[in-house]
Amino acid sequence: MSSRERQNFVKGLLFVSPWLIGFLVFTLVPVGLSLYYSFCDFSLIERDTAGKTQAIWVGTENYRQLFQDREFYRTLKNTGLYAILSLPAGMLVSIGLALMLNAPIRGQAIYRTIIFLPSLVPVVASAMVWMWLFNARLGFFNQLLATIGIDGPAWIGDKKWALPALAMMSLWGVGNTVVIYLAGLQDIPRDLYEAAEIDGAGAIRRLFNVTLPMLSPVIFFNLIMALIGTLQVFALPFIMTGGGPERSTYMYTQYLYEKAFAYLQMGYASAMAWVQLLIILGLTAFAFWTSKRWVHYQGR
Amino acid sequence: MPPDIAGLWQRDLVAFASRNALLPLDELAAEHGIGQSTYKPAFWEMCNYKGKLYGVVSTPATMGLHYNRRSVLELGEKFQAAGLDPTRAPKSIAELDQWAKLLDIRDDRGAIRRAGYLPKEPGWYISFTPFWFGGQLWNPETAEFHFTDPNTIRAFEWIQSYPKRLGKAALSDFSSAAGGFGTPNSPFIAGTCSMVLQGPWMGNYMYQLRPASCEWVVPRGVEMFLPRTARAFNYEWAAEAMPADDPTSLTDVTFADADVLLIPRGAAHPKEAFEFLAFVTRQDVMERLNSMHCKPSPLAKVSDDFIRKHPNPYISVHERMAFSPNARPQIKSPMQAEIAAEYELAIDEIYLLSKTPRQSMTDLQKRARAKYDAHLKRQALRQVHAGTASESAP
Amino acid sequence: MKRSPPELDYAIRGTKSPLPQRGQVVSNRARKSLNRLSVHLGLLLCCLGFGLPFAWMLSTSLKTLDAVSPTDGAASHSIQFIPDPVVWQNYANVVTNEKLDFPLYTRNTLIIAVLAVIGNTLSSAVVAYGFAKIKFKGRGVLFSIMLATMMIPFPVVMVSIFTLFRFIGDYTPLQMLGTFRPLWLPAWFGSAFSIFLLRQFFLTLPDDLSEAARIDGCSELGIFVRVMLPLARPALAVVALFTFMGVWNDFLGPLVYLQRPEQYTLALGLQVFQSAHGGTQWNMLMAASVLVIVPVILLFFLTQRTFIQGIATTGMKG
Repeated sequence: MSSRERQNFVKGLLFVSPWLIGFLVFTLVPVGLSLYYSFCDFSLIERDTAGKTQAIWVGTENYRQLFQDREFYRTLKNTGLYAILSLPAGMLVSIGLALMLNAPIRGQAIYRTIIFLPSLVPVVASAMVWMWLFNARLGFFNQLLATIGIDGPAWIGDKKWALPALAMMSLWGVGNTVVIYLAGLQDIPRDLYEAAEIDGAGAIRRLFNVTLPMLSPVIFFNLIMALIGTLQVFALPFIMTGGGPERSTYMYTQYLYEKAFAYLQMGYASAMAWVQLLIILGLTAFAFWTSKRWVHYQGR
Repeated sequence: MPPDIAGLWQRDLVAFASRNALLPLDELAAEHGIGQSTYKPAFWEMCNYKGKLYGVVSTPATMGLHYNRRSVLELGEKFQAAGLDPTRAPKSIAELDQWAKLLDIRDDRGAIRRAGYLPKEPGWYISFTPFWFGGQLWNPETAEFHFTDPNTIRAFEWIQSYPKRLGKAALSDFSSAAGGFGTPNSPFIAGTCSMVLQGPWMGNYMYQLRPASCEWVVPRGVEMFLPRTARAFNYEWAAEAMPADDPTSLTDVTFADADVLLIPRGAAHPKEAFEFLAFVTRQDVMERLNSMHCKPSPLAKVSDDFIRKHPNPYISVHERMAFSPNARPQIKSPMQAEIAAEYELAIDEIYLLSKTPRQSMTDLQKRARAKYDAHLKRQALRQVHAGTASESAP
Repeated sequence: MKRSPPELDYAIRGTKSPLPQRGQVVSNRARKSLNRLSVHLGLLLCCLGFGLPFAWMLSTSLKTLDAVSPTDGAASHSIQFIPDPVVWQNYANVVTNEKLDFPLYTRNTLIIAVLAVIGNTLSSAVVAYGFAKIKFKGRGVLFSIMLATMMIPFPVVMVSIFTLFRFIGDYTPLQMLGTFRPLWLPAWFGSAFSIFLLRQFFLTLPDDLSEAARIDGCSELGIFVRVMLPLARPALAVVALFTFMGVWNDFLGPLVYLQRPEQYTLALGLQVFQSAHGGTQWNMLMAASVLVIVPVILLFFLTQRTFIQGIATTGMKG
């Protein structure tokens, strides 16, 4: 290293040091610790003869118990089902909205604001609002259905409807994604459309042959973000249903949280966290692998 | 560093005690002359685990049947025609069912306008229903769950008879329209549910939220001039022990709950901390504290003044229940929080008519056993690896 | 990817149309306006759906208790959007309610938010500058690692960070659990997302600026503070806003770290209030929700311009 390089190296490290320290303390060490804990029995309150709490190594016992745990499979299934319901619906709705909002029409700004606003609403507040909308007797939906003579379901109070209802309400917050899609749509060069039109392509063909392929990098980015977010879903079901009725909305992260902080099995919860991490990494890697086939990068 | 004193719900005491997190208090208590005879049996029993004392009760509660006397008396003739006495509380579960049916008001679509009794209104103590059927949930000696005992199953067959009779949809409609607890529109206070299993705090809530129900005859200010026995007539509501399934063998059954004070292991000043615990346990302090909370006293000795000046007109009912041999605390399995969640699921399945009580309880028994075995396995491994397990397999 | 502000301004607010009108293949005029009409119709319907929860919440928040949980047991009630009577008192009751200490929870949330916003914005800017403007060995690797950390789910580190904070509390005089510290302290070490945004922004600034200052004998820190930070104001505002919203929204963090009711944030307090009261006073709960939502939405409208400019210049999107 020349002296200039060394000087830059020190300077650079100094500037990024806040993040570096934070990364070590709040990411690297905790991730390592949680891997270690996942092989331990650790209850936070359990004290040894010296009055100290500590994690005791128990080998692969947590993982062995986890793979025999019915709740593990149940919460995994619920989370997966929720993802399958809400992810594609969310993508379709947000792309559709973005396409409509991209059209040069009057009142665009107002439309855009209204679609975007719900994504600003704090999760607890939106949970409250939707609990009220879903209320079996006094809720808006069932009162509306009652006016046309239909006895609505109990929504989040009915084990068949609860999960779809949660997925449905997740659409309310797509505003963020819509904005990202809109920005992506702006990036598509006009001449592509013009060329397609000269070739005699109709609106549908333009959508499938120009818009969607050109938008695919943005779709891919949103897919990955949504995947990571959806597989960790916690606050909404936790607040709205507490995982019920009959655990039909009991999600993986809620089970993990309860294992750790209600049942004080930190080791077991850490094992769960690692399984979750591996699943998310696996799915993301899979998405990257398939992306070669459907994501088109401009100028590449 | 742990704090010197901590407060817990009684139901969490065993979880902490069994994990070695609490200081045994027997010696400190003995120094202050606090022992078994200081307390009513249920409240002494709930603070002990495996022969050691781990906490002292601060404010206790006993759950009883609260019923709307006014609604009952309005149906006086119907009650008498059915051979029931509307001037006293129901004497058995069967009688309570008869009351409930008479008090129910439903419209032509089957919607509930007034419910006589609903196991889930508010349903906080639904998991203790087997107590009233002579059922046992957990045997600490053998470390066995008893969810499939005939008595426990019978208890839940009774619970399930309500959704079966009234309809699942009507119940969900009723509860989703119910005003929240602590508001004047909550069903018992508003008079839309005539009987509930509730605690002594109802005395405060009734007066705050529907004062008229506490001044049926004379204003509250002059109530003290009524003879003591006549005091209850001033109230549109009454409280009595929830009747048992078989009242000849079981009387004054109740779930006894409490907030407890305890000293964490490793606390810096256990002696000083216990000074405070002993202070709270002094009869006059205890009575003042629980009078304020509208609750009975956990102590064996109770002054006449406490009963006379107590804000709850039915305090003597609560005192009687608290002293009863059938007052039972939360079960003492070391992983109660987790078992309680499984239990809650089973009750959901029963109340939503997804499973028969026998099926649901059989499944629960298996789940609970599996969770407990997993716990024992981890404890055993702890012992192997570090010798610090606080509990070994029986 | 870089973009010019007017373009994104259009993307969000649609204030001007960059679509070229010339050179279009002209098709049937009538078909075009029909298309437009159907887009209008579709958007109107969607906006109705998206706006409805707001309307219902506002309407409920102004109703009486008897209107939201009637005790007459009647089977159905007709939908009533305009409350009768209008009960503004609900809002006053929420603020003065003893079970949901609104002023205290607001204060708690603001304390955490202010500390987190200052910490995160400052330290993220410093780090982003390092990543963007100083060429040092290992920069690429570190930056990739940083981006990768965005993928680690919070539940994975939740348990061990909790034990870490407990450890710090047990062995140093700095108590962590049961204080606000776990909720704002990590922000002082920057966050990957904010650093990424700011780095993208710094990259757009020409190197000549700093070179000129360097020749004038300015230190690296001097360049950063005197030249870069003032230019970065819009980007910093975006980061600050995102951080504020993150704190205002956060539920799991306070749930894990806060122990005493007097420390609750608004989000946690609202949830505890709701779950502790079984069935619920929906009018009060909706009024409380409105009060929680309003600051965020107000903030958005007040900062919209800076926000869009900031997002545009940082090139955030995909």
